[in-house]
Amino acid sequence: MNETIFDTTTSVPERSKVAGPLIDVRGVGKIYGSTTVLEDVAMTVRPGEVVGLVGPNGAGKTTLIRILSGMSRPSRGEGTVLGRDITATTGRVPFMGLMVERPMFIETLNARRNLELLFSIRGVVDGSTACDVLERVGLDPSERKAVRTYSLGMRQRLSLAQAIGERPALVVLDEPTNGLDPLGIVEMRGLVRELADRDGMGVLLTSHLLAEVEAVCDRVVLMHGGRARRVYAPGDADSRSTMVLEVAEPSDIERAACITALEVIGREGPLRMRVKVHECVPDVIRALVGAGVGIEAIYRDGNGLERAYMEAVGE
Amino acid sequence: MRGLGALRHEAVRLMTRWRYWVAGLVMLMFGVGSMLARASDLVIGAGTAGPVPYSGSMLWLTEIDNAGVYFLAWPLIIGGTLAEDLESGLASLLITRAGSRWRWFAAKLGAAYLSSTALLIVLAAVWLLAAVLIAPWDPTHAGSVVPWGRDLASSAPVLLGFGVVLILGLAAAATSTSTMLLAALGAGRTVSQVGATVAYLAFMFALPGPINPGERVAVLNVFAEWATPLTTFAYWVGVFGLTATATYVLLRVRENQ
Repeated sequence: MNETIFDTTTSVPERSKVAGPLIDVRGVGKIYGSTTVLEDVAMTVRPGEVVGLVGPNGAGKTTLIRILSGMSRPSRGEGTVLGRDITATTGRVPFMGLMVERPMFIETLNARRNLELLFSIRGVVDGSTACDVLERVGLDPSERKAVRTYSLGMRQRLSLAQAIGERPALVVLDEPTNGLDPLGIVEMRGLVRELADRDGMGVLLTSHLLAEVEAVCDRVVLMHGGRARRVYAPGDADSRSTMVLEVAEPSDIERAACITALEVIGREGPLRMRVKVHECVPDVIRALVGAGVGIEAIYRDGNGLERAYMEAVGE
Repeated sequence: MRGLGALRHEAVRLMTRWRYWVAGLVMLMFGVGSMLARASDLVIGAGTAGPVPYSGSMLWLTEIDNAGVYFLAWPLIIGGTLAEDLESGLASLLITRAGSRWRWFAAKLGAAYLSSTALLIVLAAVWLLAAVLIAPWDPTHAGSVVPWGRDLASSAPVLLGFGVVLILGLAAAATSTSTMLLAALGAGRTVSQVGATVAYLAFMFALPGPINPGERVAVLNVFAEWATPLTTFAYWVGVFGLTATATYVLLRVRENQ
């Protein structure tokens, strides 16, 4: 891995020019005593990419994040995170933006003072950055109220601010939408995409909100029982070609199944089915109309991750 | 300076706790009240022809030495941060900022010493002002209230008093660091704080003189040959160092498990 990634004074756009993934690990496992909590996990995160990590409680997400952030050594496996060998025994930990699930700040200070103190530890940004980043996450930099009076949603925003304020190459967000209202969730989604698309940061996030993960991530690693069961890519051709077809009558289902432009992959009640389309959507619609299928609706399957998740967890 | 930033963060965190200020206020009032109560007493000590009234310097030095008794409270006042860090995930956040575990851990130790010593210095200064107001300062017989350092008590009582404060700050940091040791063993915040206090309370009853923490917080008011400020300083350095080392090793072992 190129050493320039360690240069914390380098701006993100310059750093993101560095070739190679920010996270590149293979065969990662962790054993506590006789209990295997993580087994054979491989993962990559590249600059400008948002990768999700989903799975039920106990799937190994937190253990994996602890290993990736240098807080724990893997029992097996290899790879690098920001150029640091994850098996290294040294105490050196690479800087990454971290947003932990239970954000904790100095309760008696306001948001700006908290950020200034955290930023002063590495000393790579000045105090004015605190104001800028607070505005960016939707908090008022001139707010004098102590953090102890903040709602969970405001704490989440502040936690995100401390994670991104120093413009790290890699940001790890643990449950970033936890406690946010619907508007906050939408804003958080936009902000995460912006970090990747505009700032070139690599983002690894965990969440239980599958629809949100699907909306914001380029790839999603589905974990269960300590293993990465599957990697789902919401934007890939396979996912995009999966659609839901709703028809007027039950007999339309049979007629639609005979069309070569699509393939039925699942029925959901008498008037709805999931199909894989083999041609562009207008051509598929023409074929359906030509076959006399009464189309009520046809739309892209927005629950692909949910299905993939259920399959992965059910395995 | 990364190390200084981490130290500043930890020190501010400790010194903005409400219990830090409440404890300071309580100690302050106890100290002033104690000096007021003692002001009308007479004292007989070496170097005096007969009973003499407490002077301001005698009141102050007595109060400074008595402040050692608060050592049991320090785990509750400034302890528990490591348990908080481990429970909340703040440890990860701070370690990745500090650049190394050692720097982060050293900042915690330094902040424990700084915050306790800062409070004790402020208390000593306010008590000094109160002592001057309560009775004439006159350090001529100040040595009569301290078995150790009589000459220094008479010639430079302020220097002696603040020297004691530095040792008591070390004792405070050492006792509060034991909350980190318990946290590294898996205790939560409250358990680590109460557990450390209870442990030191037990040590006061169970351990023999030279290694008894209760004996080692009376810096000046000592009679045994082994109990000098220098050996007391060495004692608390040893306790602080051993506790910190054991905590750090346990953290690394736990992390690699």
